[in-house]
Amino acid sequence: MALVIGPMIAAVLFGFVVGSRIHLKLEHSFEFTLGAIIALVIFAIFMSWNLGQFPFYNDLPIATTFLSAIVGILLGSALLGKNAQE
Amino acid sequence: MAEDSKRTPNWGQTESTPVLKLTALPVSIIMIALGIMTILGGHITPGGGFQGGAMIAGGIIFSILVYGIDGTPIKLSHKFINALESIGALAYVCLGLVGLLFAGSFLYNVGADFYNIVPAYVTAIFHYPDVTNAGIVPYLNLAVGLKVLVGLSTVVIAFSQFKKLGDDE
Amino acid sequence: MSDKIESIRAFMMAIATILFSAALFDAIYGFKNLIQPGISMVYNAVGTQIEPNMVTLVVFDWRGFDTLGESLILVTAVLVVLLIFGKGKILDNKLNSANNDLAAQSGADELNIEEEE
Repeated sequence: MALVIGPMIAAVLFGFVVGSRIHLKLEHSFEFTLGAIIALVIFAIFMSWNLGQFPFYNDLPIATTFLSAIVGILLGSALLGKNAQE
Repeated sequence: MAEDSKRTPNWGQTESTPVLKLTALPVSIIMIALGIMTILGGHITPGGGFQGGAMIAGGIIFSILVYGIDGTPIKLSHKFINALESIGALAYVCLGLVGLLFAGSFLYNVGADFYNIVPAYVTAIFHYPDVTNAGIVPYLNLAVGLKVLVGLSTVVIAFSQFKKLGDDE
Repeated sequence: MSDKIESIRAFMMAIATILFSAALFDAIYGFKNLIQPGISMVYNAVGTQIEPNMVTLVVFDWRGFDTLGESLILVTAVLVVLLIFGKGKILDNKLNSANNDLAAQSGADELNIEEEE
């Protein structure tokens, strides 16, 4: 089965838009370190494998749009998250 | 500190427990990703723009409730809310106007082209890259998802700031 | 003076009611000939060739104009909530000092309102 690439691109774009408002480090409050991001990605892979082929595309046994949305959120937060303070 | 804790819910200051502060942001990110998945599976699975947008708004609202409106990591500014709301409505109306232009009826599904009255290049542009023949329906889902996510978040952001106003006065 | 205005208003309302009811009865008369259930049968039969989820097909493809109105209802609800509970105070200058020039404008409006009160 060929990998359905269109919904993954849409998920990355949508996650980029929402994730560009998330800053992972805020003084006097918390800091979301690299290890936490790695743990989040591992948990997301586990969760997408448990979700199964949620949009039923029959290409991979994981929810590909969910993983793409996580990647998009983290990407947008890393690139534009520091400028999000109003 | 004891005086402040008597005021039920104290929105302005971040007085959450460390457990909540540690877990709220990853749970918010996962809720946002689940909402995006629900939006993008709207034409195949149960769900759609409204439901997925409500899930994303739930993630943002959860982060605001735990960290407070000042310390929340997901800050939606005035410009961002304005832009997303406008983009969502404009995308919906413009997708409808494309159908009005090429097929003669508003919101005609130019991607699926049910009656074969649209030129082939227009169908090729607006066809969703998918195994189904959904046409413009996923794009409409995305537009409605943007609108709902911003609209439901705006109410909670505004209410938390109203509470801060009441405390100052 | 006010009685005259009231009578003119009642007269205009009567005319508008007559026009509306006439248009409504004219639309209802012979309404059975206007109904064509064919599009519903078409969507029930071949709708799943467009997309598998029938509910989304009805909501976004068949009744897309209705969904546009629904999403505008949500916008209107949020707008009314902000208007009723906010009264222009949400962009106050001293509370939200890092905001843009819109804040200063609404802060000036609020000061005027307070002076009037």
